[in-house]
Amino acid sequence: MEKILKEIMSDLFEVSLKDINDSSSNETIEKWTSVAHLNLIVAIEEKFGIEIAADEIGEMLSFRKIKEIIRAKNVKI
Amino acid sequence: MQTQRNYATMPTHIREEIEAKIKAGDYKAAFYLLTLLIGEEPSSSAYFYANKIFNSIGKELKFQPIKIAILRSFTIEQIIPYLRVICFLKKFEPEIYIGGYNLIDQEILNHSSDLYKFNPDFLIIAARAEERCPRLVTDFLSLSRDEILREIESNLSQTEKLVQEFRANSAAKVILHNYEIPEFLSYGIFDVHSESSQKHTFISLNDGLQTIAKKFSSVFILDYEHLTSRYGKQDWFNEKLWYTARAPIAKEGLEALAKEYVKFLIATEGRTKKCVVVDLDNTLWGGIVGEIGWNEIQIGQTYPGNAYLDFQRELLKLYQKGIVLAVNSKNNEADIMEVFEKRSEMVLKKNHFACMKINWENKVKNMIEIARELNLGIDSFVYLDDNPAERELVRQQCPDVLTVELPEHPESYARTLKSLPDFEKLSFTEEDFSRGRLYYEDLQRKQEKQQSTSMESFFRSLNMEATICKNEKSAISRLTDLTQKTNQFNLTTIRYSREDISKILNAKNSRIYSLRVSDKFGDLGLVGEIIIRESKDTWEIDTFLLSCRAMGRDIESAFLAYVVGEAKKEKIKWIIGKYIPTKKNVPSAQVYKQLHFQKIVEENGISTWKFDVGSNEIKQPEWIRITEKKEN
Repeated sequence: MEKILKEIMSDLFEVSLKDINDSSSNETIEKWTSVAHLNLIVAIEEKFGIEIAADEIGEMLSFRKIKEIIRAKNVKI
Repeated sequence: MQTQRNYATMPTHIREEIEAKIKAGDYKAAFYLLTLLIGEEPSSSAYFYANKIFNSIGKELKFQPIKIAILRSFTIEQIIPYLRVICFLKKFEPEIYIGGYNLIDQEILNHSSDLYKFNPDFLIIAARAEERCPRLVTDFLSLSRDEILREIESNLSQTEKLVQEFRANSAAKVILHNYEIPEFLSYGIFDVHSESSQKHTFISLNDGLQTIAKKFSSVFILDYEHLTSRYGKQDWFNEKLWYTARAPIAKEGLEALAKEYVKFLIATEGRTKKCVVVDLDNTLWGGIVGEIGWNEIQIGQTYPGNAYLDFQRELLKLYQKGIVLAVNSKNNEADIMEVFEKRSEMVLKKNHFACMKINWENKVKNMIEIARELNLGIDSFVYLDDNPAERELVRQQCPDVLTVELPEHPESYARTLKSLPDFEKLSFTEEDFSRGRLYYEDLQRKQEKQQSTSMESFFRSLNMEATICKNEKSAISRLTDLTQKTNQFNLTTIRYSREDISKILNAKNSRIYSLRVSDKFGDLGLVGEIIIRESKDTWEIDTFLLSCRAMGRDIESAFLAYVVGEAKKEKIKWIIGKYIPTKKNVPSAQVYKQLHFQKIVEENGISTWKFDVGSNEIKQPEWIRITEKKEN
C-alpha cells in the first residue's frame, strides 16, 4: 500500500518514485504547494476509502506523517 | 448516477503500456490509452497521472494550443489537472493562468496586470456571490427590499464595467459564471412566499448578467447555478476544504466544471461534432431483429423498451439541432425496413437518417463510406454501438471517430449521450434546424443521380437555382458558422468570429457574397461564401468556401462567374486568389486551375492565383439559374 501512496505523490508532484521516502516533506519537494496539497488529500481519501479530518490536513505535510495518519484509520500501509 | 467503482484497483498494466508507448515514441498510442484510462476510471489519481504524462508529451501531440485565464474569487487552483487533462482529451493543448486570489477587479482594471501579459484566448471569470455580493448571502435577512435592489444594481454595474474594460483591451472570449442560488435559503420554506425572496433575488441577478453578456461580442454566461443544481449543491460543496483552504468545490465538482469549460472551447473553436452513426440491435432497440423478428424487439413503454425509447428521443433532439444521423449495422436490410414500417413506437423514422449502411460488411468500411457519401470529415463523427468488439475495431481503425463507451445497460444510454460535450454549440441558425431534412433530400437526389446517364443530364434534371446576395447582414450567424465549420471546399480555411464578419460586412474595402441554392428536391439554404478584400484595381479572394452539401454540382463555377461579372462592372482589373492546403481541403485544390486562373507563385504549398478580369471570363454553367437578391 505504501507504493500506492508513493504513486499518487509521484504523479501529483512530478517526482520519481525512488525520490519519495520518510524524509520527504513539503519542504523537500518543490511542487508540494498548498494547493497541490488539497489535491493530495482528495486523492488519498478516494484511493484508501478514508475520511481525513479538517485538522489533520495541516499535519500531513510529510510522507512519514501521512502514513501515520492513514494507519491510524486502520488501513494497512 | 454512475455506479461507484473501486478506485483502489487502478489498472497498473495500462500505466506500463502507456510508458512503453512513450519510450517507443508512439505518442498517439499513449494518448489513446490515456483516453481509455480516464474513460474507465475518472478518479482523481487517474487525472493526476494523466496530467503528469501530458506535461511531458503534450507538445508532441501537436494539438491546437489554447490559453485560458481564470480570474476567481475563491481557491480554484486544484482544477488545473482536471482542466488540463480534459482539454488534452478533446485535442487542445492548454496553457492556464490563474489570477490572484479574489483579485478579479484589479487584474482587469490594471492594464499592465499579469492577465494582459498572459494574453489569453479565453477569460473565465469564476466569481461567487459569497465574495462578490456577500450581503445577499449572509446578511440577507437584514436587508430591506430597496437595499436588495441596490445590492443587485451595484454588483451588475461593477460586472458590466469589468466586462467592458476587458473587451476594450482584449478580444479573448469571456466565460462569466453566474451565481449559485444558496443551498439553504435564509427564510427557509417561507422564501417562496416572501416579498423579498432570496431565490428570486438571485434569479434577477443572473438575468442581469445575461443582459450584460448580450451587450458584448463573444461574452458567454456559464450557467453555474444550473450546473450546481444538476450535480446537487450539497455534494458540490466541500465544507472541509472550504473552511481549511477557501476551496469550496468538491472533486467531482471540479471535474464537472472543467468539462463545462471545455464545452465552450468545443463550441467556439469549431469542434462540434456533425454526425452520429448508430448501430441498431441492442443500441436503438432491445434484441436482435434477425433472430426474433420485428414484432419481438423491445421498444415501447415497458423496460427495457422505454429506456431505448428515451435514447431515441435524445438522438432525435440531436437531429433537430442539426446533427446528421446515420446507420451502420450488420443486418438484412429488409428486416430493418420492417421495423421502421411496422413498429409505430419507434421515435426515429427512416427519414431521420441521412445514410443507412445495413449490410454484412466490415463496419469500418461502412463508416468510411458514410463519411464519403455525406461529404463529412470522419473526425466529426460520433459512433454509438453496444458491442465492445465493434467499438474496439472502429477505435483502432478509425481513431479520428469519437467512439463512445456505451454503458452496459440501456437505462444509462440516454444519460451517456446527454453528457457528451461534443455536440455543444453557442448559436443556432435556420440551417441547423433544417439540416436533417436537407440531407434526406440529398439522399433522394443521389438515387436520381444513379438513374441519370451523364453528370450533365443529372445537373439539368435538378433545376438548380442560385441566389446571390452582397453583404447579407441578416445572415451573419450563418456566414460566421460557415467559416468556422467548412473544411473540404474551403480554399483558405480562415476561421472568423462573428465580430470579424461584422467588421468585414461593414468595412468599405471588403464585402461578402453569399450563395443560396435550391433545386427540385428542396432548399439547400445558404451554402456558399466569398469574402473579397478590395484595393484600387484588384479584388483579393480572402475566403471562398462551399458547404459540403453543395459540392460536386459545379456550383462553384456559377458562384465565381457571378463575382467575376461584378468585378467587371466595377472596372476591376485583377482577381487574386490563394489556396492554402490543410489536411482536409484537398477536394478544393484544383478549383482555381479549373476556373482558368494563372498560378503566379507557390511557396510552402501555398499557391497564389491571378485572374485577368478584362480579357477573361468564367463560363456560367447553363443549368444553374442565377438570381440576385438585395439585402433590405
